[in-house]
Amino acid sequence: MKNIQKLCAFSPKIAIKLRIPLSLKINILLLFLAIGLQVSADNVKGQTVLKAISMKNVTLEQVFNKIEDSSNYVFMYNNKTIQSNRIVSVDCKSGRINDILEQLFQGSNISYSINGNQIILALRNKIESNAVAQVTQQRQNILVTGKIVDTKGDPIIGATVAQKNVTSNGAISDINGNFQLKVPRGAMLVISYVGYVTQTVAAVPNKQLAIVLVEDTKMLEDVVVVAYGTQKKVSVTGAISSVSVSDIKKSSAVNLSTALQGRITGLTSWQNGGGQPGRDTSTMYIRGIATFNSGSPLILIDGVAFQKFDMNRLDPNEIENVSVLKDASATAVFGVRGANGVIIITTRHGKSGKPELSVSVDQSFTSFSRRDSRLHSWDFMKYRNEALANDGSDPEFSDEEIEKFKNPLHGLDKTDENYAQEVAYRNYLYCDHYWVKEFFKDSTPQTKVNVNFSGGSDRFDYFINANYIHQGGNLKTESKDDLGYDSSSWMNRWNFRSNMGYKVTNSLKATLNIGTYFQTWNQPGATSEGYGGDTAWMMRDLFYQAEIMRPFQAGPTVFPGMGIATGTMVFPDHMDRSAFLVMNRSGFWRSTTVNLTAQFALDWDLGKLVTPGLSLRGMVSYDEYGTLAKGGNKSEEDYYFRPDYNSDSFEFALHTASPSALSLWTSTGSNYSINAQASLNYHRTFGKVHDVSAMLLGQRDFWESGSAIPYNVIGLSGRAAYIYDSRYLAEFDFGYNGSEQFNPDKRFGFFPAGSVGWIVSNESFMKQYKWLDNLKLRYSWGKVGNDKMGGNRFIYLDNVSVSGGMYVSGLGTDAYGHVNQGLLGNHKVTWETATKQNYGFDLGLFKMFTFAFNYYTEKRSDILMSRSMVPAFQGVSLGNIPLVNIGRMKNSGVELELSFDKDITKDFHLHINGNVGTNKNKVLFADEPMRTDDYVCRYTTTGYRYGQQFGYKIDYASNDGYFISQEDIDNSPTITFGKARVGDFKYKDLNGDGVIDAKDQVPIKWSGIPGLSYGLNIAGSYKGFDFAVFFTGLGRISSDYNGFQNVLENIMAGYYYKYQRTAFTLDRWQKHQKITYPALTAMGSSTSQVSNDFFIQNRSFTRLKNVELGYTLPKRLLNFAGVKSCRLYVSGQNLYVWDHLHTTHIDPEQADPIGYPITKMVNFGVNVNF
Amino acid sequence: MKYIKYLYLLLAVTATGLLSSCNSILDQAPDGKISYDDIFKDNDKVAAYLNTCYRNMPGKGHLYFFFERGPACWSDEAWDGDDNDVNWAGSALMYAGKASASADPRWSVTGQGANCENYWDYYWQCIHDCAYFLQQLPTATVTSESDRSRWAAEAHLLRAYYYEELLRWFGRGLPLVETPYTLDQSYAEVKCASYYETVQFIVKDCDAALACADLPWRITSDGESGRLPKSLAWAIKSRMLLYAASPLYTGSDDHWQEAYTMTKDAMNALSAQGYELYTTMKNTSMYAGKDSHFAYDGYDDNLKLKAGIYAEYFCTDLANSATPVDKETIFASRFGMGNSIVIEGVGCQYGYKCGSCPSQELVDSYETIDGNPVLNLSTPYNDEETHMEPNYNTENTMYDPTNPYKNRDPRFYATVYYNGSQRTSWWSCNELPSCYENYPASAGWRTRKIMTYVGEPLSGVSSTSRTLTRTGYYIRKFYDPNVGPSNYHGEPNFKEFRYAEILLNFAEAAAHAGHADEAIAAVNKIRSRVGMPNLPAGLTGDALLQRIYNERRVEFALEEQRYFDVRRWSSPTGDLAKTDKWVTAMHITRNSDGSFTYNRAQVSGAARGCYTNKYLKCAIPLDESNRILSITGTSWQNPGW
Repeated sequence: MKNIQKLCAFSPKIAIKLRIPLSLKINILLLFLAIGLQVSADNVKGQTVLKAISMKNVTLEQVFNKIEDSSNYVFMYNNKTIQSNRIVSVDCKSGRINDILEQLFQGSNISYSINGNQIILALRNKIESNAVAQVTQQRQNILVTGKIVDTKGDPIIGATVAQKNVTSNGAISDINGNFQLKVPRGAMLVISYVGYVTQTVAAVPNKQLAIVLVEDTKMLEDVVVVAYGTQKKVSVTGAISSVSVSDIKKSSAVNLSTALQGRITGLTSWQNGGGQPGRDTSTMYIRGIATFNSGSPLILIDGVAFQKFDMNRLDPNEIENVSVLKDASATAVFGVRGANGVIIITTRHGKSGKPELSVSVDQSFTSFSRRDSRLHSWDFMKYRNEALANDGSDPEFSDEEIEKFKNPLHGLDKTDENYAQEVAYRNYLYCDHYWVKEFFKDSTPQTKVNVNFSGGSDRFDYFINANYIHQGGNLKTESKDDLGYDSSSWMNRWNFRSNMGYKVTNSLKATLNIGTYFQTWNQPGATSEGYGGDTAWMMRDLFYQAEIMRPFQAGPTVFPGMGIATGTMVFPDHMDRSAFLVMNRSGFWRSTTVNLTAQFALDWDLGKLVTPGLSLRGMVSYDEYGTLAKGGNKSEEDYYFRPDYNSDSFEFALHTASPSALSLWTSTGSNYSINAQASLNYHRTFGKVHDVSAMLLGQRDFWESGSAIPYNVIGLSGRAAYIYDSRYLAEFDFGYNGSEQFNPDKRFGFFPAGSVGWIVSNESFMKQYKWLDNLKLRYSWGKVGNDKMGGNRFIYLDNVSVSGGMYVSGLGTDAYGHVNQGLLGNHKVTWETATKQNYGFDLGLFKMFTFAFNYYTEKRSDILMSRSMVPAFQGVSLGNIPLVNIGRMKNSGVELELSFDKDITKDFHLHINGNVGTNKNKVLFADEPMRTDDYVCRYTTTGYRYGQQFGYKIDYASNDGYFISQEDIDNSPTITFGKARVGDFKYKDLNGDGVIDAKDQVPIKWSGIPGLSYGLNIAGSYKGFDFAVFFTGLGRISSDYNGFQNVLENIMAGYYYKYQRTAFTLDRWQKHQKITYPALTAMGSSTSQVSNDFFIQNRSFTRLKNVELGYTLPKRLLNFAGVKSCRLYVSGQNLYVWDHLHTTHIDPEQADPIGYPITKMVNFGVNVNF
Repeated sequence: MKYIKYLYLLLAVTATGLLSSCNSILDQAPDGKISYDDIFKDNDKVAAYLNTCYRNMPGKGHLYFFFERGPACWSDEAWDGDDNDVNWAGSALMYAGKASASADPRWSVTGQGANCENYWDYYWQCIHDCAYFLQQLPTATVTSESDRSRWAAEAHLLRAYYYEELLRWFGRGLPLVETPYTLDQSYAEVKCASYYETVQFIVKDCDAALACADLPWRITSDGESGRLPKSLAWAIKSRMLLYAASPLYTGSDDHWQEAYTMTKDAMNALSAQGYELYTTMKNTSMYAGKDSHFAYDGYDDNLKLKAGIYAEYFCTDLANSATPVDKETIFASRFGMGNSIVIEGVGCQYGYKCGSCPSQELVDSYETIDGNPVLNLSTPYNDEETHMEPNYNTENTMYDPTNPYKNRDPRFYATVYYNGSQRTSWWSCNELPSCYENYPASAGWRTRKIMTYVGEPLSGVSSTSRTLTRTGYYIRKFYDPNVGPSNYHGEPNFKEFRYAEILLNFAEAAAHAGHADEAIAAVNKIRSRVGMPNLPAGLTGDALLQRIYNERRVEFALEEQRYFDVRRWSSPTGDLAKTDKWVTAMHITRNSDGSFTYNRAQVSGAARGCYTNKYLKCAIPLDESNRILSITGTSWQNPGW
């Protein structure tokens, strides 16, 4: 205990020094406590057995059983001498084994000794030299028989029945769930089966034991969802990772792909698209990208690749499991669609038992994850002048003007009767806006309510879910009362799901899944001012306006007493349009989407009819998706603001003279898809050791979307697996399917894959290593295909059509105005082929640690691409020349999953799991023309990672990479792309030709595709409390921020971000002050503003993705209204991010720094179960 | 056993549904896609194919990315007022010298309502289409033989037009696409013709058009609007021969005699078809009325009228008629310019931006009304590159540097708004107290004095604001005298070829070929249209050439000629340091008594980057030049890229 105190005493100091966030501090503390507790628990081990024991007039054997049941102790004795049927009583409050035994045998002729977990009994004063050997023999053996069934009454085949603590004595249940086993009288039986809660029962002779195993939700990971089915984890030989819904539900993101971030090894997911409500999508890759074409994984929901049922619209509460299939063995059955990996989402079903009702309510508050620090107008003017001075130009603002902005009221007479009016005028003219605050809310509420209901009987199961979510936007729009319409940004969504199963007969089960959502979002009209209804553009403008609009720009609306109508819009100077006007005064847009998905399946057990283990499944599903959008457009009069600082006056000049009234519009769209599939499944164990399973599945997809040509997909898949004695595993998978992309003779392809596994830990020679729970080696090899080429379809056919519309008059007709040349066809074209290999092992240790390791390689060949060696002067647009199978790419990487799971004490449970995945990519062939030999890099694609960024190397060795004098510039290699100034970057002349030009560009950092992704989850529970902390991050990712309007300083007359406020000036340089940016410029651009070491920034980051603290109310408080459990929790999302960007106002996770920023969230919730 | 039946039934259904006719399930549903063979079997579709050959004709005027008057702003004619605010578009990148082979802002343009985004790729596509059309046409289904004949002629002329554009921008010989390339052929043997051979190929196409009796000389109805007239064939020949004989392209050969003959033939042939300079005003109330404001009170009334005629020509669209009012325009771009007063002109009129600001150099090139140049044309500036010290023409006694906008060529007043000029239209600005010449006045229809002096808040010169001039001048050409926010109307389509060019092309060729008298006569036609005195008789040699060059500069101000002229006049090893490196502004100080002091100043503290040798020709796109080098083993890349 001394140590613990020391640690506790020290930890606050450490915390202060390191500035660890409070939540982290608590966790560190908990961790220390956990270690301490573990130590103390070890110290007292062997002491406490039971809280208390009180038994009266029972047989000695009953006491032994009780103790054996609740501890690791085993009694060993010779029944002839000890007479275990003697009647005893015991009453021990301490529960210590020594105390119990002392009481039991006090005054009797029995002595005891404790040897490890064995309690050896003997007659006092009589030495039993060979006690251990004799006792087991002499304890009477009995024959136990029983039947193991699941909660539905179905027999469980292959369950293990073992004598407790004597694992060598066991049996396996047969096809009817029956077992028999000989054990010593009084022994305990341990019945276990993967995916079920292990049970321990007393061995009772002459009685058929009826054992009902209950499915263990905690053990879900032990059953793995694979393509078109499930598999025991132990038998899986492919590379599959999954996440359970409890982890997903920790996220308060409304978007499932965001919630999956960092949770699944090998799945790289990041919120590339920013944080706008309804548009906060993530980018997802499985094991990187291996093609120049679409690298998107295939996504299946309950076995169907729905075309419009967006996985992001699913409510996490309706999901049972998300699995990611990575290697060829796992994805081969998807054939021509499986090359980029597969994400399988399984929805929930009810379980037989009492109905369960769960209600949860979440209230969150969202705000932007990052925001630039404030820039005051007078500081802006100073930096603007600094930038002009760097360019050799005169200052734009005089000292007097700057002074006026600092002291707008200077010189006013307080006694003047117009003083108040003058103050308003001056503050309006010499303004100091904080635009971000004026245009965006500090935080916005988000509400989620979920009710779900599940249960079932032996014939019927059901799961019913209803979910409501309201997501508010961060736009600070004017009120509906003033505008007459609602232009604010929000999203409402209702999800409903009803999944039902019914056993028509003992062998026929029908399942009906119906899922639907109804989503409405609202946003500003955004159709005027050239936006064309694109709110992404509006957000972009609004956000960078907010960030960079000159701080002394008036507005956005006119105050009373300014000469024109109060509330009139002011058009921002230096801008193409007023995004604030677009946000408020251009009308509204409301869009409603209705989606319905229905699936009907029949599972027919042919075990009795044809052969045991055979079943047939047929499924039909459809998906319907419709949208109805309505909006109103209008435009409004607005004015320019014209300041005159000389006379302290201003005026307004008309900008839009002819406003338009609100006019309504509407649009609709609808889509549907149909999937039909039938499969034969077989699973049987022969002779206890031969486990055989097989699957054959055929399916057809058909869908129509808008005006596109109907889509068709057709395929046959199969799998055969064999397991010998739970030790040797082999599996063969194939997909045979066709693609509309190819000529009839090239259309169908066969995609085989095979895998083998060896469960080393099940070998008899490994049994002695008790600490080894599991060791499995795996290998897989296979081929999968990809037929996607952007949005191009039927790529074997010429895409040529004639349509109306003429460039000049009198040639052609209204119907035939011009010829459209699209992609020209190539009859020889076929799918691209991925050859994948996976080496892996799984390891379980000490019943608390598990490891999974994978090393994978992928060679993608025949990548569909346009030839790059066809010159443009031949005259067919390079975008239209026929595709050929020519590209080659290579991927490899390592994946590691670790978990630690332990009841540290009876009350304290700790769970830690982490994962890390790497991806190394190289383009082997891209049909790329070679550059001349004066280029440092003669290729920019071939030989590099896909998307590798290129730029100039800054010569950091010389004056930190800056030119510090004109002489310095004159003596350095000449920059050919502009005129370098003092304070601009100095580049390395890598080809040594005396000039810096495009030939000196070299690869810098990485690409926009991460080469590393990881997640770390630490969770635990202590009595009623539970907590979870989740970190995730990406590495080896970079972006070229050169040219981005929110990164450079000079667009639209300038704004200066925090890192530009300490830009290079000779003065700062000479004073050895920290310099964080090259010399500011007011010109169009500078030689520093090119792709280089500085602007190609490292986007790697680690994010504190989730923190959650929950408290489950004690049961005794819940004895009302049938409440079973009630949990209160508070959580945070995206609370902190560690990164490497030069800027501090951009979130590294989002690709477009001027898009809607990623948000962070604080959430309060309650979950009640009835 | 009844289950067995179901089982078989189910299996049968499954098997039928899934496996039978698998292949045909994946066939494409009918969608109207056709083959090229189908196209040439139907008269209307053949016509539609020819229509498609028109698709990549470029947008001109201010339809360069990003709504810029590209070549005018990239030469010494003007400075783009968007240099700050649109620093990712053409002008700012050119000024910074940031063109590269992978992104040359001159061809990596995004079409602003026009269709051309990448000259190299897009022109080659249409050249291919014309060649393919010509290959297919003889056997194609065409109901009228006269159509067949005319369409062939149009395709030849279109091909000539696209080649002409490629030669102008890229300035080098090109492969000659008589018959279209096929995708499966090897390009290793493709050779570049010389510049002169390429011009001859263009001439051949033009001659094919000229030989066609079914191709009309001019488009006479709106039903054929936008189509190429036969007259264009002569105009292209005239321009191309002049180019082929110019120093940048000619090499050691002398093509002036041939250029003289060809430009003369062009002049005569077009003249015979009724082409002539625009000399009669149509809308006198607008162009000669009290609100036209060409020049100032006291300027010669006849010359004011001449300025009005010249202005009206650029502000009016060519009507498709057999007897057009405008007999000068040979071919105008088909792209409408939209309500472009929003993006050019005096920025405060609408309030958005001022666009192209005419340079002091352009203003200096306007003669005084006595026909004397203001500057010494052989050495216009004593500081040859920086242009701060004008070398005044000693023979000019009329020019007054303290009152520089007096007594100038009428075309000056029709082209440029200068300090003190006036405009009557809708102004969306209220005058501020420091707008001394205009205060007080509020937004509305009125006459405003356009004051460009330093400090004038609404129209004075500025180095940063988007609405204020960089140079002290605003563009006036192309905008009718009264257009504004209350009466938007589209600027007329850009006149790509006009008869005045035919005359000046001839004058230049004739001067080189030793026909000075004929040259002077042609120039005088141009001058007399605007009331300027004839050139002195007896001018020859360089003195004559300099007057012709200056005439081109003035007559074609802001019309995309100057950019190409200064280039073709350069030697292949030369650069544009004397013209384009530094561009100057007039910084005018308003004195307390209301008088003005004129000071020249550089627009920017930094030299432009786009004057060096490599900027004489555009870069061939890097990927393409790399491909060509890889395939053919020879580099086609222009020097310096």
